[in-house]
Amino acid sequence: MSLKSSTTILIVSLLASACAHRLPSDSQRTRANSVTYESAININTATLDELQRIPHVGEKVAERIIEHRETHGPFRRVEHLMLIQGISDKRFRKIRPLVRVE
Amino acid sequence: MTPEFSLSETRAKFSMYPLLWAAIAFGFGVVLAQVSGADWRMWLGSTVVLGAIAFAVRGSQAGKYLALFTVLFAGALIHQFQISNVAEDRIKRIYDEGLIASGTPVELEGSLIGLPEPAYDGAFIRVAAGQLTSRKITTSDSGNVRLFVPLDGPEQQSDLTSLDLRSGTIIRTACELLREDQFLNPGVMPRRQLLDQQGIDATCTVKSPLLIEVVERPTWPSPFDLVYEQRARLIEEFRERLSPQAAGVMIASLLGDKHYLDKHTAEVFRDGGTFHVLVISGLHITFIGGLIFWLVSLFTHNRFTQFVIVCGTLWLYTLAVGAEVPVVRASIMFTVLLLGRALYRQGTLLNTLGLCCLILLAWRSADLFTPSFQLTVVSVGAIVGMAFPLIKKLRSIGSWMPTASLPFPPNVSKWLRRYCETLYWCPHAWDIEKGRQTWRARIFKRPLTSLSDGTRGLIAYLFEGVLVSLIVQLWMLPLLVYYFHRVSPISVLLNLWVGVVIAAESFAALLAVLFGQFSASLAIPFAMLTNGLNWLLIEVPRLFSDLGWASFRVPIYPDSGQAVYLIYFLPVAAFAAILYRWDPFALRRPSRSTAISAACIGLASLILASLITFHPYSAPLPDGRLKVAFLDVGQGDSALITFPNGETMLIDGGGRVDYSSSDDDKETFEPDAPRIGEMVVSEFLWEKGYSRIDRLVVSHADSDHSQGLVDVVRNFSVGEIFIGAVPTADSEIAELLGLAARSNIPIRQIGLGESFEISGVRVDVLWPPRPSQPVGSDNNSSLVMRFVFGESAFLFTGDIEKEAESQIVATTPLNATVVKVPHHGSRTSSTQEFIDAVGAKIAVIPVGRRSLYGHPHPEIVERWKSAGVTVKTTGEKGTVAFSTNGTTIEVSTFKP
Repeated sequence: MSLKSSTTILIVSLLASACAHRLPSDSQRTRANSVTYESAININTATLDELQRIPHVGEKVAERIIEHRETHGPFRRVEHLMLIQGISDKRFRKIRPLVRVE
Repeated sequence: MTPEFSLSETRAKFSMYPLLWAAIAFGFGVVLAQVSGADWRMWLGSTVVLGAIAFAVRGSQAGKYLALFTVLFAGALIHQFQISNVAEDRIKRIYDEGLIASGTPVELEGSLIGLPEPAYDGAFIRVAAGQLTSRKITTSDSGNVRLFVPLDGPEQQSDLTSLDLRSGTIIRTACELLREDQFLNPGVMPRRQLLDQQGIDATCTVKSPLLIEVVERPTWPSPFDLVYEQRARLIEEFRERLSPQAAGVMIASLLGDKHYLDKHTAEVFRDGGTFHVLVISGLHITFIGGLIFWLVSLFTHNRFTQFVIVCGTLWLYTLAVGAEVPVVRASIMFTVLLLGRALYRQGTLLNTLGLCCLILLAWRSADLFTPSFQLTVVSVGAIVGMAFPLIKKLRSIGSWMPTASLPFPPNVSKWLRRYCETLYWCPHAWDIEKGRQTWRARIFKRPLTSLSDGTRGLIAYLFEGVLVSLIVQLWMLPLLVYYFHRVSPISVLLNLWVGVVIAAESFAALLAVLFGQFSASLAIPFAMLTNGLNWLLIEVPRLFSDLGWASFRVPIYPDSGQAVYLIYFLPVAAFAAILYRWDPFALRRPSRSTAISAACIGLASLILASLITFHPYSAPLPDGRLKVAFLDVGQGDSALITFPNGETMLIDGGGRVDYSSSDDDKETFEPDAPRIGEMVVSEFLWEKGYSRIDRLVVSHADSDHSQGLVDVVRNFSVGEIFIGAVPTADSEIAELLGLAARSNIPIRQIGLGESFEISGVRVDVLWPPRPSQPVGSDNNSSLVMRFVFGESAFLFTGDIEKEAESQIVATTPLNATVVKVPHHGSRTSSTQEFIDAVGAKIAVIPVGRRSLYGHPHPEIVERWKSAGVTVKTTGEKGTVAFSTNGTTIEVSTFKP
């Protein structure tokens, strides 16, 4: 086999492998856990005591939530709770069904 | 000799590489603008006036110099214009002017640049900002922001994937944008400057992918998405098929993503002076461009078609690997080179280099001051200006045969001629040549040994490789010392080794991926080959890493002494010029005076090189004062004490707090992250000119005190290590103690009641009492030491808490002028009785700008202040330095 034809084969197979796409993941996945309960606490209106009723939220974190609300305005999304020091991604996932913004 | 003749001769010399001279003039202009800071309009005026005069007197000698000056002023104009015209809505400007404070929560809206770049523990996303909301006010903004999304679980990974981010997608996220300098010490590269070099305005960590909302998707998918996707896919493939170390090396060197490199591999490359192969740079672009060029030239000989295909592919690759500035720079250089070929304008390589520099500087003039630009230009300049011409001459000496243009043999010394003949003289070629000519001749060649063609070719190839590598190292010496504080003689050889092995490894890895598309088992032999080559790549350099001379760290000269790094280039450039002009076939050998001046220049280079390498005068001279500098190491402690006789002592070395929490259960992979001990403490000491620390003190085993000392022991010659409580075997300083044992550094345990004197300074050890049993990392067993010099006293307290404080207060007097507040100003320490007993004038709190633990506690700061003590925190002031003659104390801080 000549050098030229073997190079051609190499290039063609490289291109072929590059074009072989994987199936795209289902981007329109429904979010089962974004359902909120009726009794969920509104983090924009809740008082210090009410905020502490959320599991994993102590006095310190509750104070920070209120302070954040006062300086930066009401929370637009519940996810923004993660801007509070002390609420990590893991912790937020646990309390997400229990809070709402309106 | 008539005047006309001399004029035309000068003209010919001058126009050999006019663009090189223009580039140099342009560079001087940039420096001039940077130094003078004059308004760009002034430069514009000078450029226009000078340009007009130069045009009027064109053709004359003066016109040429005027043209050079015009280029110089144009350089100043472009640089001044670029640095003074930052758009008002640039995030960079908004943060620098304090309109929004760094670290406050904001909502950022902007469109994605490229796809998210995967890293081992998350993903990096680049966003071209569009809108910023802070404290309920929304403004439109511009500038680039780099977001990092940590992903430590499949849930988060799938959340990010489901966002389906593509280039051009407009996202909105709540985050705390950061644009501030950290670690405010002399010698530490300011973070904002680093970001500017990378073209990033601000960075932030987005706690979770859930914080990212997609606002709008692009109507047309970007054609480049395909390129980015392939890159992401290849990263996945490499990680799946190769060992973590090999995958890290391949992903960094082929795909330009350094986030998978493991710490030990990166360390081996840094030690050997070969780290540049892990960063996509000129070397890669040349290699890949050359490879594509070779492939294309198999199919077409049309130079223009070749140019279009090669450059098109190369720029796609540049884009795919993230289009960072150094890669774009290398691609521009390659394009210019190839364009010259396509247009049949192959001037000298030096001229092409000049054109490249002009284009690059006009594009981003401030790059002139970046290490990356300087290293590229100097190394390429060394190769095309010195190495290539020299090799060409040596070849011509060795392989000379009589021709019409070169009828006489090379006129050089006998040994050089024989050496070149050994490498390049091919008797078969002469046999063929003899048969083709009508004349007959006998020529006398005396190679040192006769070799077969294959062996000779291989040896010549190796020799040329080493020569190029040596010349590049020679030119880069001051840059490597100034920026990286490293001299690696071994890198001359290792560069060749690493270059060859990494090329082979890349092919093996690509074949593994290619065959993996058809069958996983087919890929296994290639994956094994890749892993094996990677093992060789790392283990062979490691053999040398224990040799002291192979690679070592050096400090730099302080202040005006730094001129030596620039002056060094003068004799080296002069030497290169002599070599460049040397004609081995000239009928007359170089005159005696030329030979003598060449020898002098060589000697001068040698002297300067040893001044830089062995830095005999870098450490400051002792001035009879006791000096104490508290470093800003973020959360953590580190202080340098310089005794009146110049001896040094370092108490603690800073470190990261979160280090030990995760390394037990995870796999052996440890990422290559910047470390405080290297990036802050070592840099500070090098900047001060030190290469030796006489005494190292470990106050206690917490990582924010002891971790950085590991790097200090590695980078400096250490006399002795003082330690308080005996640590348990599994504690965090095990690594430090192991390293000390290997380097034969004595470890001395000190404790309560001990007192010794160093150069007129009395050192009292006030805590801990000597335990009979080893204790773990315990704040209350921190070393407490007092340094008394005349009437001044400094008290170091480690992380002691209430219990230790009350016992010390009860047993010993501990009054001091300056005190390091215990435990970073935490509420666990600084009782009122302790503060009263110390009776200090100044208290220093070493603490980060934003402490995870809320250090220093406002209550504690208030407690010290109300006792009449001036409080200084390193997070706010940067380095806090004291200097005393025994009676008066001078205080200075990095930030006023």
